[in-house]
Amino acid sequence: MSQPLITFEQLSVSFAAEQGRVQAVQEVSFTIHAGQTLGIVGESGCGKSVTAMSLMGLLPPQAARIDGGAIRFQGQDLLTLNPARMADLRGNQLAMIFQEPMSALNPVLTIGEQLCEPLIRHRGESPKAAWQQAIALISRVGLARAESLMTSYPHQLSGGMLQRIMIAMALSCQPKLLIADEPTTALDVTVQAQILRLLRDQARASQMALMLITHDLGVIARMAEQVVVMYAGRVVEYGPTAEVLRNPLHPYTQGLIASRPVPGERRRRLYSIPGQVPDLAALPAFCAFFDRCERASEICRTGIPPLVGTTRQAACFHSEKVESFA
Amino acid sequence: MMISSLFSTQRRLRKAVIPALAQATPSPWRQALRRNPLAMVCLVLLIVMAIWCVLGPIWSPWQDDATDALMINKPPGAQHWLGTDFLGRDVYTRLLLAGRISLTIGLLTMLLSVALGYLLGAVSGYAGGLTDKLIMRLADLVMTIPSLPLLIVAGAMLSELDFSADARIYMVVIMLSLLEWPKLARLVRGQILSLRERDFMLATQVLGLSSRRRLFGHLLPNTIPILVVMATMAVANAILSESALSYLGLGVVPPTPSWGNMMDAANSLIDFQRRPWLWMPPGIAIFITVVAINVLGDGLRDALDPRLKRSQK
Repeated sequence: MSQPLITFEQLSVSFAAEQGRVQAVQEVSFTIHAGQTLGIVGESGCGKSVTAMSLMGLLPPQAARIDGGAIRFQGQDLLTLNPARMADLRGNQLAMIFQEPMSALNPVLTIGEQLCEPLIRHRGESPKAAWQQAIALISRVGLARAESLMTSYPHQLSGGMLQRIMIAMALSCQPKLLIADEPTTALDVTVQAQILRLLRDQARASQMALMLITHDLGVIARMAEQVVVMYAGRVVEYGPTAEVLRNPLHPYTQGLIASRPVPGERRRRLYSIPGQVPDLAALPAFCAFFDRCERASEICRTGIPPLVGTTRQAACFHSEKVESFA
Repeated sequence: MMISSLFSTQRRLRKAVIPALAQATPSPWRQALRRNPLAMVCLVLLIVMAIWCVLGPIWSPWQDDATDALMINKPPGAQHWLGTDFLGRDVYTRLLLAGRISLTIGLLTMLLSVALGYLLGAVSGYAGGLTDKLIMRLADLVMTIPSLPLLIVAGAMLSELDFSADARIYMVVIMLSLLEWPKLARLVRGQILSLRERDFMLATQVLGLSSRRRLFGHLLPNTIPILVVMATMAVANAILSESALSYLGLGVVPPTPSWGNMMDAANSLIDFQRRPWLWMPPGIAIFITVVAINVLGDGLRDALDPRLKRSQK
């Protein structure tokens, strides 16, 4: 296979906090190939967003520290790239959209002004040409009356429309990778499906890789070819989406799938994984899922389980046994 | 068009895409201001007052400093609409000339103090660290000194130094500005500190924009609303301070008229009791101007606050 677009190699990131250093991301490794959609799933605080922000080079400089590893973009380590080169990549080759489109657009500037920014910055377009391209972009993301939207302010648009605008802005320089950090969480359910379809269609049309961060397994199932399941800053399971969802190897993934509501099925209560997410400042020297795991045994206290496997990877001492069960 | 476009791409775009901008929705806060009749009345009042003060004396038959020994302390009448003072000067003409001076001082002080305060506040908020600390401690220092006693001391010193009457006007402007800027600087700093943490500022980073573009194109336009409101209020403050100072004989000094030093007439018991036409007109002028500016400022604040605006709809 050709060279991957993005490679995370044993990335570890920690933050300075009052109670000491918080291990936000530890030894995270995965790859994204051109045009591929990869989903990252996990609950709040498991390191999904930190992973994305370290790829964009936007970790808060005072608090965050890269403890090791590399992030390669077409073979080049982004962590050692100087800030100016990194800024050239951002918005150009690497684009990102956020959870809340309402707050991600500047309230006092018109949509048009903001859409023109990356075109002027990265493509060196004249303002006039940028304006024309921006109008084309708005039509491309499925919004009507592009001309009048250009001169509207963000508060005059709905959340779904704004997320489309954000996508248009992200697509403007034909990025190789688009990071979507919970792109539909703040939107109505009916709009969610439209936004996801738009993202998938655009990614397919321009051979753009998509890194989809979410805690919604339904979204992962529909969109992603590969899935990374994260727990307490570590990758616990990684593989092709269909296989991971059909036959999860890690008990955490199994718990996530079990706690999903199934339409038409009336259960008294939804399943929930017992216990709580561990404190990232005081992680144990063994499996972080130990306290909550139904399958925990003595071997689980001996150390941190390594991520084993080739196309399908899981970080559980019991995963082989689990596999044989299934 | 919004004032914020001063900083924004719109300025870059203006020449290129005038047709598109011509169809732009009228700026939302101007519409909101139009819906506030009281603020509109005050705005019109202030404009009329300013024009009157500038043009009125030109058509007046009386010269500012023309004294008339035979017409001393005459009450208002057909010839002298607002009477004459103890030197036989026409009070109406002097009132308008004083208005020119007082409004000029108000506006100049506003410009200077807003420029100082905005610049220092923005630098302080954006740069942070030691710069921030130095500027803010300086602001604290200025704010801890009670302003009126300081102005009185400074005014007395100016009187000793024997400046010309015209130069006094500018000295008053500088004195008032140096006292006014810290309030503005703190406000702008606070705004910038909160704005720079907002998602859209992160978004500008994600787009790879330069820090100059992020500051001037995205951050500062967001502070324009508060700047407009503060600037308006600063004019009213400056007019009041000038009046107080001139009333005490330490601001603008005669023969140059200002509303404050015309009020000086109220100092004398006889003038106060028997010749109200000497001190009532400047008093009323100060009152109307300051109230109008403050009401306008409130109106602007309501109009510029997008959250408030939407909840009213």
